[in-house]
Amino acid sequence: MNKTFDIEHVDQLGEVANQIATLSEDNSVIVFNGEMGAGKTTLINQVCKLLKVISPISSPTYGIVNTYERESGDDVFHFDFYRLADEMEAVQSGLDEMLDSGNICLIEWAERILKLLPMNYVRVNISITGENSRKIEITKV
Amino acid sequence: MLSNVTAGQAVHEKYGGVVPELASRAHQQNIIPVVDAAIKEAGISKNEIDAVAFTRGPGLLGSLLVGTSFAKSFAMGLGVPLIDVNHMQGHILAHFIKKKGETSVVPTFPFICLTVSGGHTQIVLVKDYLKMEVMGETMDDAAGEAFDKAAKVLGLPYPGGPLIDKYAKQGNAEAFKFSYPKTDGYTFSFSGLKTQFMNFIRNNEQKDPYFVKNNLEDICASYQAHIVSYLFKKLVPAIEEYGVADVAIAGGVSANSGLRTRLAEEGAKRNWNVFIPEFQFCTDNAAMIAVTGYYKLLNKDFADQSITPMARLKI
Repeated sequence: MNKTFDIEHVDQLGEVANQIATLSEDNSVIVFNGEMGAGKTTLINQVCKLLKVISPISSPTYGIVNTYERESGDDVFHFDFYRLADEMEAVQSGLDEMLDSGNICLIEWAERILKLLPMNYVRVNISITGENSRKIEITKV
Repeated sequence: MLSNVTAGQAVHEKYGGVVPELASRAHQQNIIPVVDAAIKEAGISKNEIDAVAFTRGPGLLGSLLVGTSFAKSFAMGLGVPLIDVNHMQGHILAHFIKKKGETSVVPTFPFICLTVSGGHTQIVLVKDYLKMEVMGETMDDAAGEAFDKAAKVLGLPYPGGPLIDKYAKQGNAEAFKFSYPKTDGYTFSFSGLKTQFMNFIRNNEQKDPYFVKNNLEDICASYQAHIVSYLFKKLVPAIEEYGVADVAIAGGVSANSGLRTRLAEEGAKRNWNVFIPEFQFCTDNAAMIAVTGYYKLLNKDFADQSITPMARLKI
């Protein structure tokens, strides 16, 4: 599956978030690629709302992973591997166990830990096409 | 305080690039040697320990688990009370750490503390050692992140906050202007500021490819002053609303010289007593957990052996 969205304004993100939330029912790991400021955290915020997350969403850059609670009582993990150098560091921090937990994992900077990703996951590529416009490509890997 | 031992350096040497506070498997290997060193350095024996305090959260679950399990076993083995500590309360109570043979002036209750670090930005009303109320916090990125991410845009290594501070000292803080994020009450938002900074750099680089190189000091000085001003835009009304005389800062970003200078200036201007912790107590440390444990011990506020760590623990 491969789907591309051309977004002119942040208001149009809802449709993209909806698609991702639907895919998360069968794919617990979702990877968000895009340069800083592309809107990875903004999109994740919207996906979390659709997943009925009740905890506040914030940036995980410093803490590497934020754990959010869903209305159902399940957890959603929001990772940012930017501060890690490679897979070894994630394993030494016990983060691999969270990736394998079956909980929904929303991941930023996954290129640092590519070898730890499962066989099947969803990849979301965000490219900046203008100050407010973005091209978003969703692929089932 | 008799000793305050950190494993950071040893972990770095052993594991190369691992971010020390995150490596729970490294924690597991380090916790006993570190506790042992702290006891030896304090010049006491294990049977003189009155209680064992540990960090319950907030933090990374794997690391919290190591500390919690060790603290439980240690307290049980010694037959002394177990005390759970909130990391964010610990940052604030770092102001009450007393070093052996030294006297220090401490804040008087109630006071307001601005806790700023890579992961947190909070304005806290501190009514007593263990009675604290979060008046406002960030809805997205933390203040420290606003520094670190801007540093990345400038091509500086992570964590770039201290480097921005270094260059800012030689720059003109009036050179460039940024706008303030619009947030209600005492709520902060730093995500928009980061985007604003990126667009600012991108737009200027289109006109001049050497913009960053030629203006690094002024960019850092202006951006740092802007973040500090934004913090004070929220802090000043909070202090006025509650009419407190004592104002403190805590957390890793309280090591930032721009913030320290501005606090001293505002304090002199507005008749505040200001409190800035010693550098070793700004960043994450064990002494701040121990001092919080001490006040909980005086209150006989103990945890039982069924306690579990909480990654999202609130004040």
